[in-house]
Amino acid sequence: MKSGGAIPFRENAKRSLRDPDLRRAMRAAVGTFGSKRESAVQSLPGFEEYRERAAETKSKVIENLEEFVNLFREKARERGVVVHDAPDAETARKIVGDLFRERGVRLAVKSKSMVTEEIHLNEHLEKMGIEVLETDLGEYIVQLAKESPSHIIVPAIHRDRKQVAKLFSEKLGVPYTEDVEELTKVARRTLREKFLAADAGISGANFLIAQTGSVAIFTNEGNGRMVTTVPKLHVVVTSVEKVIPSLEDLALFSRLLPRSATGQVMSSYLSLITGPRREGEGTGAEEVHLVLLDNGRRDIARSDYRDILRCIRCGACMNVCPVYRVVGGHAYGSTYPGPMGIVLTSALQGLEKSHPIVDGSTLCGACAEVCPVKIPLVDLILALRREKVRRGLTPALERAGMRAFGKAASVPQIFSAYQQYAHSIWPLAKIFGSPAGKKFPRPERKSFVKRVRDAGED
Amino acid sequence: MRERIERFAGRVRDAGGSVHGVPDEGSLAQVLREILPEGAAVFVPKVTDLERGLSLDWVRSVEDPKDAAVTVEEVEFGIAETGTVVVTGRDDRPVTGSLLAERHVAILPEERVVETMEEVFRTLGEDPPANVTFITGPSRTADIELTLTIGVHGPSALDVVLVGENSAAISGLGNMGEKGEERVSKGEKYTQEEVSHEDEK
Repeated sequence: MKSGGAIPFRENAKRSLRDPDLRRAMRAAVGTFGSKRESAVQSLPGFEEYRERAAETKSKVIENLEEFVNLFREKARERGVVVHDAPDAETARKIVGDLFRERGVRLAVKSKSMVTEEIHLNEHLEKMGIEVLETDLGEYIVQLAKESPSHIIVPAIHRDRKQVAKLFSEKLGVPYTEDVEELTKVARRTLREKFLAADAGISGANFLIAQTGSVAIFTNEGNGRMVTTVPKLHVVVTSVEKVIPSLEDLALFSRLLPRSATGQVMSSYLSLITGPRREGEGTGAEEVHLVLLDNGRRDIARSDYRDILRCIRCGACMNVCPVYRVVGGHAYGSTYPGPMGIVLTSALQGLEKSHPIVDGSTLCGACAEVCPVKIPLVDLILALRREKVRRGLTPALERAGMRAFGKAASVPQIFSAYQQYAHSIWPLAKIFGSPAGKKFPRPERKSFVKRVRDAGED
Repeated sequence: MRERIERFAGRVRDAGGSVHGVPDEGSLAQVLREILPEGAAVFVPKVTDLERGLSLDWVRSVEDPKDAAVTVEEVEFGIAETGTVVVTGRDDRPVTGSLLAERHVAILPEERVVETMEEVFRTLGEDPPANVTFITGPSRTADIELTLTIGVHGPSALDVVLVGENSAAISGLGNMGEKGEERVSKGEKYTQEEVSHEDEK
C-alpha cells in the first residue's frame, strides 16, 4: 500500500463538494450522531473520570506493549487459540489464505473489521477463488457497490436509501423498494443462507483481554455473533494495540465505546470469545485462529504519535469534524478517515504518502473534545504539519511565502509597510485574487499599534 | 432489590426490549402463554430445572435453533446498569438460540440481576466459558441513512420475563418507536408522542 504517490486529498475534496448526493447523505447523517452521543454521554455520571481511566489504561498498554501482547498471546494459547504474529499486511494475508487453502474453505462470512480493510484481505482471498461475504449491512452495501467504507462505524454513510434501493434491485434481483425496513429484510434473508453454509467466519476484535486471552466484539446487528459461532472455523484478524489488561477494563470500555460510537448506552451484543468450544459447552467454533498484526504499530508506540494507538475506533471524531462532515470518508484516500485517520494513516504509511490529508483539519478541536480516550488530536495534527514543513513536503511557493511573512511579521516597520501596500492594492486583489482571498476583509491602512498611539494622542 | 429490578426493567425497555414480571415459577406458564403464539416453533436450548416444570403444550418444539420462531431460555445474569441479559455456552447450551430465532424470550430469576458488568466478570472468573454473550435489546442497525431498523441478523423482539416477588408488578413494552405497539399485547401502550420523545433521549 506504500506504492503510488501522495493521497490527492484536495482533488478528492473538490470532487466531494461537487457531489450533491454525497452532500445530502452526509448532511442527513452526521447531525443525528452528534446529538445521540451527547445525550448518551449525559446519561452516565462520571463520564469524564471514565475517559480519564480509559486513556490511562490504554497508555499503560502502549508503553508496555510487548509485555501485554505476550501475556495475551500466552493466555489465548492456553485456551486453544492458534495465535499468528504478522509483522506486515502481506504476511497477515498469507496466513489467512494458507489456513483457508489447507482447510478447503470456499465461502467465508465476515463481520466488520477495519484491520482487514487495512490489509486488503478480501481481494487476496477472492484472487484465490474464495467467496468472502461482508455481513454487516453497511459493509454489505459497500461490497455490492464495489467500494470501500467511508466511515469506520457506518461504512455506507455516503449512500442514501435511493442508492441502496437501486443497488439491491440491480445486484440481488429483488423488487425496487426504498423502504429501509424492507431493504434490511432483503439483507437478512440473503445473508442468513450464507451464514449457515459458510466454511469459515472472519471477525475483527474491539478488545483483546490479556488476563484471559479473550476477544471482545461489539455488534448491533448480530452478524458478529453469527460469524463467531456458526462456522466451524473462526479467524480473528486484529492488531496489537487492541490489548487491554483485564475484563474489569472491558467493562470500563463498554461504557465508552457504544456511547461514543452510536450514542447507545450499550450495543445490542457484546461477544466475549475465549478460545474454541470446550468439552461440555454448547457454543463456539471448533477451531479459533488469531492473526495479530503489527504493520508499523510497534514503531508508532515508540514515536511521538504513540497516543493515536489509544484509539478504540468509535468514529466520534469524524462525526463532529467540520471537514469530514463535508468531504466524506473517501476523500482521505485511506482506510481510516477523519481526524483519527489523519494521524493513524500518517503514522502507518508515512508523510510522503499522507501529507496532503494533514491539511484536512480546521484545528477546531471538536474531535479531541469528544474522544473517549482523550487523544490530543489537534496536537498530533499540528505535530504532523510541523514535520511536513520540516521535511519540505509543502509547496515551494507556500514555504517561500511563509518565510517572507515570518521575516516581515518580526519587524514592525516592514509589517506596516506591507500592510499599507496591501491596503492600496486591495481593489485589484478583489478582482484578480483567488475565491478564498476575495473573502478576506481589506487590511487597515495604518497598523494597530499606530492607531492605538494616534488615539492616545487625541 | 426492588429498586434495582425496576431500574433493570427500565433499561431493558429503553433498549427496545419488553419486560414481563411474575411472582413465582408457577405463574411463568401463564405469561408464556401470552407471549408464545399457538403452534409457534419454539426452541429451548437446554432444559433447566426451572424450565422442567413448564409444559408448553400449545407450541411446537424444535431441535435446531435455525428452525425456531422463538427461543425460550433461562439466562444466567441480568445487568441493571444497562438492561443487559447474559447467556453463555456452559452446560452444553447453544448461544445461537438467542440469535437465530425471530424472538428471544429470556427467563430471568430476579436474584440474578446484578448492578454492573464487572460483577458478571467477577463471577465468571479467570477462566470464562468459550462464549459469553451480552444481549441488550433486539438486533438493530442504522446503516441505511441512520434509520433505526430492528431485527437484522438476530431477533427482532426480546422479551425478558423476570421471576420473583419484586418483579410481580413489572411489565411494559420496549421503547422502540411505533413498532413497539404492534409487538406485544401486554402492558401499557406508548403513545406516538412518548415514543418519539424516548427516541431522542
